[in-house]
Amino acid sequence: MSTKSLIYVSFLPEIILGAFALLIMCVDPFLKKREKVFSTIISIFAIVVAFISNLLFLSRDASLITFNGMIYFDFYSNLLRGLFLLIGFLVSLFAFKYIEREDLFPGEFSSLLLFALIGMDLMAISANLIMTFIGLEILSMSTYILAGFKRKNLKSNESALKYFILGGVSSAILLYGISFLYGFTGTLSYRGIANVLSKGSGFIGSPLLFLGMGMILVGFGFKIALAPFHVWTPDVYEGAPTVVSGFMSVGPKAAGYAALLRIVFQIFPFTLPLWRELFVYSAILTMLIGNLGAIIQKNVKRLLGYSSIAHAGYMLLGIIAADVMGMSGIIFYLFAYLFMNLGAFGVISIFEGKGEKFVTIDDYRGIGFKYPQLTFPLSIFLLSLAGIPLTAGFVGKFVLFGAALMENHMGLVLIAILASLISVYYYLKVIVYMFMKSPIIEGEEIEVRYSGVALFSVLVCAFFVLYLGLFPSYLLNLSKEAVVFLGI
Amino acid sequence: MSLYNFLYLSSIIFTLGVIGVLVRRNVLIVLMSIELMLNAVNLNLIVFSKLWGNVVGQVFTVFVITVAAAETAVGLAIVVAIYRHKDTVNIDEVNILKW
Repeated sequence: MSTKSLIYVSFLPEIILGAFALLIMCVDPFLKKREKVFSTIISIFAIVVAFISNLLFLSRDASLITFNGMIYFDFYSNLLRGLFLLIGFLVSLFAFKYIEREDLFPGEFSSLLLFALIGMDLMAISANLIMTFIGLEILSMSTYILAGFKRKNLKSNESALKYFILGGVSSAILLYGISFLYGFTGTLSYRGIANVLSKGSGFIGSPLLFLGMGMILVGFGFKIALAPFHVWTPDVYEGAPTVVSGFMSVGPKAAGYAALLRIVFQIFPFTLPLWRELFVYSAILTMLIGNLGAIIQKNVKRLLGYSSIAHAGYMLLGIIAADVMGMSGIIFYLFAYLFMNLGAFGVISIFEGKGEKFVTIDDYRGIGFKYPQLTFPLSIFLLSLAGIPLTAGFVGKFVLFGAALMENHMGLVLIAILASLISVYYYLKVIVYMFMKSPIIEGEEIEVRYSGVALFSVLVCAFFVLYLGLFPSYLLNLSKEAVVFLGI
Repeated sequence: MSLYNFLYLSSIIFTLGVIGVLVRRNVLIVLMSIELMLNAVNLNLIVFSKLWGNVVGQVFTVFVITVAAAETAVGLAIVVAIYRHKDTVNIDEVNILKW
């Protein structure tokens, strides 16, 4: 393959997504109200095409830097791009009925979703801090709008405002950190910075470098909801439209981890001891705050918001371990988390009914055997989130905790196990309410209306949660193959 | 005058921006404070670009300016949506989501 065509091949999925997103924006205004579904179908088609093009041009044995040193073309990029496209696919399937029910705009939703996917891709594949920043901003700006997508709903507006202000501040802090890093090394490409840093260990104490690193950590910590920077998460997840909350809980988190892994291991492999301590404290805080906060929640969306903070903490254990097993554990966990969390949010988006009326745990009383096609998958997702064996969540946690244990982080692993024990309480509470409590007599009851598409995607998620729980080795091997390109 | 003075200046501007975000209650002023932070970054990047004698920092600055403009557009749209509901742009009154 010539270098010129290689440039386009390495970037093809993003080109496809971008072209289709623009196409939707052009076509959508001319569609009549009844035909608006068409734009959602285009977006699903775009995601499928991008996925196929990603599969066709894998780079399994070489790590190439293309686009004038802007992006990496290696298996890590391929695998994570596949993950993001899967997220986009499932979210648009869930959104199908949801958008119609809540009377929202399918065209804008699907094109914003595609733009968000492009941003996530760019974060995972970038080889230059400029590209990382652009990807982060494309993703953030799309999610700000998506969070406030119910324009006439005050809760949704508020969540968008909170997300926007905190996101704006955090990206400014991230940029300030990047500018120090540039001042320290004189370049912004990952490889260039790593070269400069590898020349001497005298740099490590330098305040400029420390400031730069710390601020970059703050920026990404916000995106993946690590402990001191997690405050926005429950509010934003509660207020945003449920499908969008589902997307926000897996999408930006996965993209943030993808970029953070590249940055930590491709730019700063020599300063790892400095990071590790920060990460250890942050992981402990994140796991405890997430799980303790979730215990008292009445709103299911908010509960999952807190639980998503906790899961970010578990994944941090992989970075702390900093070996192939830990890294591949993170990627495996991202996949597992994608299926279980997106599935849970999908079921919630069906149960809540028009106008998101039924979102408290009390509303879930006694619906267990009434709608078994939805409550059984939901139970699977919740059990998997809690880390019960035979599910994907268990395998993911096992790999992550095992990796940390092998690097002698005994205390940390103990805290992690305690934290996930706490989490069993509130996940099981939802299941108990569904199956064992009788419904409150007076008042409205959940009335389920769903499309076959949504049910299909719920079942797909449930299938993969069980499948990855029983046969994890294939995906684990793929993740191992991918993280080798990070040069650990 | 040494170029380093500009770094001090940019750190002062950045700090003012952070304080503005934390202290001011008007959303519009918070937006302006975020802008202030981004411009401190721009100043920083240009100074470093001059120090190193390459254009990478200046190129980045152009990107930052573009992104800042887009971000402001999105932010103002969100503020308008809130203003239509509550007739206020005071952050403290936007508080239905908590705990």
